[in-house]
Amino acid sequence: MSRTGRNVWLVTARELKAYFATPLAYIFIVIFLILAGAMTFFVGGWMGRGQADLQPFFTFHPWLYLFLVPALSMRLWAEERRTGTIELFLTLPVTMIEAVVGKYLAAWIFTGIALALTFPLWITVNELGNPDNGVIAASYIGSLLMAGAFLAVGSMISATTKNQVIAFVVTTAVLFVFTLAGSNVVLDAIRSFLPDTVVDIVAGFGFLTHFQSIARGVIDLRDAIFFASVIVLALAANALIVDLKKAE
Amino acid sequence: MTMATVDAPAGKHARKRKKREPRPGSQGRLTAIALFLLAGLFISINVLAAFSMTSFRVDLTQDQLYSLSPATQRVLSEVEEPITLRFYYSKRLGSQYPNYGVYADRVRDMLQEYADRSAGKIVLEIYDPEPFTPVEDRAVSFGLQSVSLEGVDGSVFFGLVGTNTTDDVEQVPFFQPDREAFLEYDITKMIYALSKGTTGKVGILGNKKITMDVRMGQNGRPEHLPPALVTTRIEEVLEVEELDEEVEVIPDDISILMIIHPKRLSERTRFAIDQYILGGGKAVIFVDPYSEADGWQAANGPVNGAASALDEMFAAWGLEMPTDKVVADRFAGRRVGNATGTGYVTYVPWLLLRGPNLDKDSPITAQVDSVAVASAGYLKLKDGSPLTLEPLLTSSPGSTLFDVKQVATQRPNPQALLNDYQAGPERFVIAGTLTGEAPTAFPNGQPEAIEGGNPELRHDFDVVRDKSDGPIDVVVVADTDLLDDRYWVTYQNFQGQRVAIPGAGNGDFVANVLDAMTGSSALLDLRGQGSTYRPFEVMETLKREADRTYQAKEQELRQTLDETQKKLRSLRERNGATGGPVVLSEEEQATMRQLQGDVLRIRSELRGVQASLRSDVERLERELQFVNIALMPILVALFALVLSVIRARRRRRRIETADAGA
Repeated sequence: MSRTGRNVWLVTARELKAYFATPLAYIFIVIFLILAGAMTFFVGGWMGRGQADLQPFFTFHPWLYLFLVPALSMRLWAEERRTGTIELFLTLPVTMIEAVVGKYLAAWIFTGIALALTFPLWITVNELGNPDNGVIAASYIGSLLMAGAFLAVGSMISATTKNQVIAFVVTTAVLFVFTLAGSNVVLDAIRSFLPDTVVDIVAGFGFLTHFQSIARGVIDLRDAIFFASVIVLALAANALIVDLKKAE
Repeated sequence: MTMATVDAPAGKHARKRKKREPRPGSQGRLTAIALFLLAGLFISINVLAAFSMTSFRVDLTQDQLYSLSPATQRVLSEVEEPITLRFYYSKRLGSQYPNYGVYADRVRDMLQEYADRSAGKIVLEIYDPEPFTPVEDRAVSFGLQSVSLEGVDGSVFFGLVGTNTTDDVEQVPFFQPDREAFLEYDITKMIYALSKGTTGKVGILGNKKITMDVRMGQNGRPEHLPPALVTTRIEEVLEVEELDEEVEVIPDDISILMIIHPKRLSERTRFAIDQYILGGGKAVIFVDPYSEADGWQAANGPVNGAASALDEMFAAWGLEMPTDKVVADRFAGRRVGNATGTGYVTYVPWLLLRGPNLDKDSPITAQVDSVAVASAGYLKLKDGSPLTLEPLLTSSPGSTLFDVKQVATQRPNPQALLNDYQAGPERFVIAGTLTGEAPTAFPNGQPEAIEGGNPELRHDFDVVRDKSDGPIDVVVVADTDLLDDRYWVTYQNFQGQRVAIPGAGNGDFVANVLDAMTGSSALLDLRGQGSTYRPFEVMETLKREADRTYQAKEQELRQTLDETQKKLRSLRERNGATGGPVVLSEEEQATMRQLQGDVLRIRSELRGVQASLRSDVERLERELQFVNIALMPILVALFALVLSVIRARRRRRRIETADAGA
């Protein structure tokens, strides 16, 4: 492993360990699992629908992440800045980028663990019928990518403030707009004053659009590029902001 | 400070943390610029990706729904003359209804893929028809469907027109999202038709008329009967030519032969059919153990005149279609008025085939809602048959067979048939596709011409095939009544117009068979392209079993009711004989009470069966809800608890050892 890789991993491991040392992590996972399951059955009407797929389950993921991811990402940097541990943290022999990526990866892996623990649904649907497991696998990948993009945006916003509540509210609001870009609510609002080409471009920046595209069972390079660019560029911005604000 | 410090790993700054920045304002400005550049980069990367890349994707679906299949690539490689595809899509539709937008993206990507893989033979043009523009007029003139949707101004389009160099036009009038699984099939079929440049012709041969018919009317004058609605549907797909019943060779310009009820075809005609099929000719054969249109008198004549089959050919192919049995199915049986006219009863030989009775993987039946058949036969391959039979229409599990004699009577008794009904374990194939290499049914060559035949139709074969050139391409349907209007259409008078109201999809079925078969055989390889229908089989089995128990109970109840009524009647008759009031003996009273008790018991059992089905399904649902909602959270909580206990203990031990050490 290269030096950078080792450094990133050191930060990630330290952060992950910290997650599981407090009851908060477990509470987060439990809430996520209960909500995801309950939504699938009671709101998505999975049983009544009688179709051997997990569409009602994945449909709610963007909306679940909309509230759970900000809860996770709000403390990534805001907490460190409020308590001043950021000073301590940045004395570690790691670069800013390594620190940002490491912290981010820990949060992403944590979300991945929560997502992976929904596997009983996958088993259930295979017991009940004969689903297209390729579509389900793609949906999981899409969901993980979307969670990663949400987290990156959340992490970036968390770096701008010392107040976790503000980080939470702003992240939710920004993600809400990004999720809905591409839906009528947003497009109709901007169509009145922007040309069609711009409206099309805005439509292409909707998280929902790209997630749904992957959840069909196809991983299109364009969707992958979208999520990857959100993650990479948000983290780059994150590093810039931390660098700027660290002295405050 | 320069730009480089912003981009470089910021760790150096981190280590200088205690020092104040000399000019904090300038770092803020630089960060702002950098953030702005990042945002610009984000937008440009994605805009570039959206507009420049189309076909880099990993298709994880089981049926490769989003990739062009080898069959399509074969069709594309055979395209010789350029084909222009014009995709008309109103963006307003997609912005109002995002699911159409998503689907339109997929259609456009798919079309682009066709163009990319066609070595320049396919040119794709994309139009967004605005209302009242020449583009819109053109779309309408190509036969595309203009659709008005709620909330969208003017009409919108979402269709495809294909043209070739000889000005043939093919179109998909409107892309329905619920036909998404057949998107590739539809486009490939269009390209195939354009590359071949002709619309086919169906030749109709046999002893049943579905085109214009003349019959003796009630007043002794001939009466013209309009063509069956099936014919109208066929004419939408292909040109129709009726062949003479005594034809001795199938004309070359026939692209598919439709044989209907072949009960009096001469040997030379049958030989012509044999040679046509062996030579790669496509055929749809409608045969029947009992044609209800021919009637019960014909069926009970000296020779069963209401049955038809192609005996020699079926024997050579190893195909069985017994002409003395009809399929009965109480699960798909149609409801008819009972004998007394007071209620309805299931008539088990008349079937409305739907859902699992239709092959959902075949483009022929996938979009057909239902098919009505009457006294249909069944198809079965004998052991050692060189062919394979792929079912298109099947009866339900638990269907059975009745003798033709039981059905071919002047007044069939539905209740009696229902009482005789004994569910079997089998499903019967009512229609299916036959493929494989077949031998001739006439190993001795062309039969001798008989005297008195029409000399104009005379044909002597120079080359006689003793086996098929390749796999044969035949669909066999063991019912001819499905072509009759009266089993699936009702006509209503609407302001002097005769309006057909279909009650089943028989017309679609027949049109689809012809349509699918006149395409390339490559098109048949596209079958099974992603059936999206994937039910919870466990639930369906539960329901089906409960249904069966319920029907057994129902039968029991009916018998007990009958017996009770008979006893009551006999009591009443005795009353009439003596003329006095009925005095029931204690024994009789006890019997009556017992019978009434029986009826009540069976009724409650009947309710019990329904309730237990519901409770079975509900229990399963509750279990699944527990496993999928609560189980994992409980395990996670337990894990956290155990972990914290272990940690606490370890900490205590550490403190204790520390204390002991002190």
